Amino acid sequence: MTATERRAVLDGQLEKSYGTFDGMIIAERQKAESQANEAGSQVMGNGGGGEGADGDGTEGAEGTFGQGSISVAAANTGGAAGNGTMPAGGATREGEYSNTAPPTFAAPADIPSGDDDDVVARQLREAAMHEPDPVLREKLWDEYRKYTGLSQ
Amino acid sequence: MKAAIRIHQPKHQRTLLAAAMLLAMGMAGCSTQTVKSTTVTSIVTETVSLAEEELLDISIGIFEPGLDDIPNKREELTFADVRMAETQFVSYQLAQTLQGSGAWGVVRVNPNELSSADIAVTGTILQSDGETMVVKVNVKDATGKVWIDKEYKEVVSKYSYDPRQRSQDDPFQGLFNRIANDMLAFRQQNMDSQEVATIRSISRIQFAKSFAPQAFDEYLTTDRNGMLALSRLPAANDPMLSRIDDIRERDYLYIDALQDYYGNYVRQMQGPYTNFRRESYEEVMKYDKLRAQATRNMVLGVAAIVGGLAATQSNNAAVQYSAYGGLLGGGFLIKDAFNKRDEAQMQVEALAELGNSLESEIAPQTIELDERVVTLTGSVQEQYAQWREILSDIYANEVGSTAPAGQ
Repeated sequence: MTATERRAVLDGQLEKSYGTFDGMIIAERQKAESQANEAGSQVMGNGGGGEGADGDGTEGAEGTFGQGSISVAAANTGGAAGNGTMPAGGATREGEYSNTAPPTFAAPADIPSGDDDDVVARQLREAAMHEPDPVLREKLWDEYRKYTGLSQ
Repeated sequence: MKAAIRIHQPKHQRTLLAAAMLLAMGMAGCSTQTVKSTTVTSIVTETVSLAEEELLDISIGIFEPGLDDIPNKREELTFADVRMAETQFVSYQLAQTLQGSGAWGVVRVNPNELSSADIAVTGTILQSDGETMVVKVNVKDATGKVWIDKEYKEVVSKYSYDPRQRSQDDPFQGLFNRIANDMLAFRQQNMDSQEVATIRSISRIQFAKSFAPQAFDEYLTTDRNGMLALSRLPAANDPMLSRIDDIRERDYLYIDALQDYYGNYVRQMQGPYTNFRRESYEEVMKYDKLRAQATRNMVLGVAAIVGGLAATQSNNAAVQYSAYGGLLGGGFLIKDAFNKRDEAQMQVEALAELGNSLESEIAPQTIELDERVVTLTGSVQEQYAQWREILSDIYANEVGSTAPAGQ
């Protein structure tokens, strides 16, 4: 194996592990958000809400990943996830964790049923199916494909 | 008619009497009264719109509980579990305050090591009861320069707890605002764009070093005072730095997840905690008053007895008569002092009940927070270890070594 090939393999390992990590963080944040919604309050404080609430994306660089990976900040909508606030986009997802049926978006045609999804894949699937932003939804499905090997 | 009898007191009796009088006069003057202002220092917000590259991120460590630094006579009023909960609360509250000033980049509570933060804030809670909060705060930037290293004290009045009088802010919001204002003032007075850029670069390299030390050791130097400086910068398109930046974004998101935990925790405990502080405020006031009265009466009582004892030695019947009055009065004061101490002790017991009640109310949330932070951090650190290995392999591959590092 040449040095270049070896480096490509190692970079591939990094990329794959990013997907696993991202899924873990998404799952944790969803859990925290559910807990907060159950408690009847917003997930994050309002101290930084000025920027976050506007979702003006000034902090977007902080929360977005490099190309080809999930923008978890964007998945929470707005760019202020980095400052620990739930951006205004979170408001569009309020219904997702309430007792009313959350909106779901059909999976793309190439996505299988998901019966054999593990925890991370299932979390990625759920995040994608509940994401109203089509661009972000497609990014989440890309991550799902990468993680489950569909993209290979 | 008797001739006036010149009273002659032995010297030691005169000394005792004089000392007793001085003590009594001193104690009368010691009844000070603390004037509390209801004015709360307002937060100073940044009025200039700062570009992203001008923003410094802040990491706030979980404050130390300061259980080894409790002031005298405050040990009875301090509850360890409540103090531990307060460390999370204070750190989070400060983060919220700083974020609200609009003067900084991302402000996060970070329970981990802070060496790769633009600005690191650490602190210790020295005193916290319903009336007074004292915190020691240290703020330094990534170069090692100390911005602030001082104590902040806030004493609130009962109006801070009156829902009709106060705003939605925490009763001690003024203290957090002062810290934030001092940090902003320091930055405005001491930091130009170049220095901000240097701090950001150094923190970036520090983070890179924590994952790939072989690749990034050469970019920073440390002087004999421990101050960091950039010796040179990596190339803008350095692939290793690009990988580190990808990892750093994920580190931000991990810390963001922790903010979710802290935020939920603070919102759950804030109600019971504020109630505890309001109720303990009353008990603390009573305790302090009773202790002060007990101390004053004890000293006055002792002074009266000392003076009385001295006067009983007089040859003057009138003086002797008044001396017995002094002895009796002094005895009464001392007895009252003991009673006041007993009453103060009852306040302590009342406070202990409040403290125990709060502890049991928030214990489940505290345990859950600890478990979630530890669990998530453990998983994250495992992943970080794997990334360090991969980066080490990549670096070894790039410098032409055939064997991965560590073999």
